[in-house]
Parts: sequence; structure tokens; C-alpha cells
Amino acid sequence: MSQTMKQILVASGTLLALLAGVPAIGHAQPSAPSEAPDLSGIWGQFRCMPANSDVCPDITPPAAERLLTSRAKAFVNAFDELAAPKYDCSPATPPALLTDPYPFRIQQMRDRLVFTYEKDDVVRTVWLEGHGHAKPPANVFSSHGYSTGRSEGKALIVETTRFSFEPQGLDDDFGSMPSSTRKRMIERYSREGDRLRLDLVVEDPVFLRQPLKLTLESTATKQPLDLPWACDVEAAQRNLGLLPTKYPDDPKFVR
Amino acid sequence: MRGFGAVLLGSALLLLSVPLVAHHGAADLFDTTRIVEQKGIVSDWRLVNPHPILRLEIAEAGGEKAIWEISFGPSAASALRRRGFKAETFRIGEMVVVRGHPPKTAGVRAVDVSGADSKVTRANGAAVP
Repeated sequence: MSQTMKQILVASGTLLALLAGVPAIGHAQPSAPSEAPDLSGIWGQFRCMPANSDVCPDITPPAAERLLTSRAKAFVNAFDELAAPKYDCSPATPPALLTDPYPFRIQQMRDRLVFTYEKDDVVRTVWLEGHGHAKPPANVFSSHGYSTGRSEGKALIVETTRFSFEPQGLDDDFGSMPSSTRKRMIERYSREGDRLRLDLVVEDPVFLRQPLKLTLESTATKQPLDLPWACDVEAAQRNLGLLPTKYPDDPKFVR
Repeated sequence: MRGFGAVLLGSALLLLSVPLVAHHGAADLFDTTRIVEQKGIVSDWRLVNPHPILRLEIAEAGGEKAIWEISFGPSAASALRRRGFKAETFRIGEMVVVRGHPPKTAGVRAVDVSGADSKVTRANGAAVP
């Protein structure tokens, strides 16, 4: 490619980015720095709303029939629980991480929020828009993705993309519901006193026919997080011995 | 991932009739309709994540001794600590009695004590913790 062509492409890309209101990769954003609402503190486990129950009423069996793509159903059928990464202490990923029954902490800084989850000692950083943070290169993906945040009235909107493919990226507890690199998660946090509300939307066009939507609530707690989590591999694998297996060539640790 | 995952996967299972089993759910690993009681000697106790390890040496029918796993269900060490369990809650060599649910998988030596109808007691009958 000629130098002139490169200059034209770079200039075009920058112009398009400015017109679209998004920054060119790796450059500061032109908008004013985002001021997040105060969410700092230690929060108890999220509970599904309404009814403060363990069962979220908006994902019923008929809803799952509507939600899952044929590919997702085929994956659930094919993937074996015994091959799940969690049995080697691989940490939970969102959205499962958010609904696990453990407290979490939010630390608020000028340009970012840091979410620390007791479960698996997971730390997520939410980069507030407008502070010039560089975006990750296009080939960088991770279990917990890349999160940016912005205020919207009294709410904080967190958008997370760049998830790696996860065999249990949509569910890690009662089977293996996968998520793809196209998973996109939108979290809307709003606070009223000692109550924190999270409106969660998860999109994944590979495995979901329509977005998953969930509303969760948490209450502030004075109990500190019980960290470090220090996952014990032997303890993580213990349940493997309780699971039935249909494969005669399984390694000994699953028996 | 209770709630979200349970219902979603439960739905998928209904749709697919696939015999998937749970990682955490005691009801999927253990027969919660039955209660068993076992008496044994603590051979291992570690308050670790994601699931604490409690092993008992139990004299089985015929007199042979075997190691049994005692499950606290979905509870991690952090959750048990909040309920009063400590690293020194059990002493290696002490006798305890566990009352809980047997595993669904035949031949597995385990008891789940996470249910409301389950309990662990010491030799003198005192409840643990």
C-alpha cells in the first residue's frame, strides 16, 4: 500500500470516528470526561428482582426456547460438564459472576471504577469515557472483557465487549451455556441510599436469539470481602467424583 | 449462578432432554428425598475455596474402612466462615456424625449436609458449628 493511500485511509478513519462520536483506536476521546455517580462501597450478593428471589422470572422455559439459537442448543447438547474450566479453578465470567451469591466491592476513582468480586477474586476495571484511555488492540480478548463507563443521569452505564469465547460464558452452574466473542454486556447501575440496582442486558448473536435481560438488587454491607479467594484445585475438582460419566477413557481425577 | 443460570439451563434441559448435571446444586448431585446418617473419624478438614473439604474414615458393612466426602453443597469457605465455621472447627481424629443426603451416582461415598434437614454433630451430640 502506498504512503499516500495510507494517509487517505487514516484521515478517512479519523473523520468517520469523529462523525460517529467514537475515538480512533488508541487515542483520547474528544468528549468531556464522564463523572460517574457514587457507587463506592461493599455490596452484598445480588438478588434477582422482583420478589428478591433466587429465580429470575423473566427467563422461563418458554423464554429460553425463544432466547437460544439452534447453535446454543447444539452446544449444550454436545458439551460435557466434566470438561468445564471451573474444575481447574478458572474464574467465573460475567454474567454468571454477577449472579453468584457473593459480595463485591466497588472502588471509585476519577477516571475508572474497580469492581472486586469475592467469588474467584475477580477484579474488573471500568474505564470512564473521556479520560483518554487507550482501547485495546483488535486482537485482545479476555474472559472478563473490556469495560467502559459513562454517566447517564444518576446512573452509570457500563458496556463490556472483547470477551473471549467461553464454554460457560452464559451459564456456569447448571451446565455449560457458551458465549462468543460477540457477547456484549450492558450494565446500568443506579443507587438509592444503601440499595444498588443493576439492569443487565446481555447480547450474543451467535448463541442468543434475543438479548437476555435481568434486574438485580443489592444492599450495602459493612462486612469486608473474604479475600483472598485462593482457589484450591483439589477442592475444585472434588465434585468431579460425584458426577456420572459416560466416557470410559476419562482420566482418573473425574472418577 | 443461581437464578439466571438455573432457570436458563433448566429450560434448555427441558428443551433438549440432555442429562446435564450441576456443579453446585446439591439437588442435582444428591438425592434430597432421602436422609442417611454416617459416623466417622475426621481424616481431612480444610476450609478452602471453592468448596471446603471434609473427609471421614467410615467403617462400612463388613468392617472395612473407607474415606467418605462430606459436601456442604454450594457453599464456599467464605460462606461457611460467615456461618461460624473455622479452620479449627474439626480436629483430625475426632469422631463426628453426619446426617444428610446420599449421592445420586451409585457407588460414590459421600454425604451432603447442606440441606435444612441435615446436620453435623460431635461425639457428645453437640451441633457443628
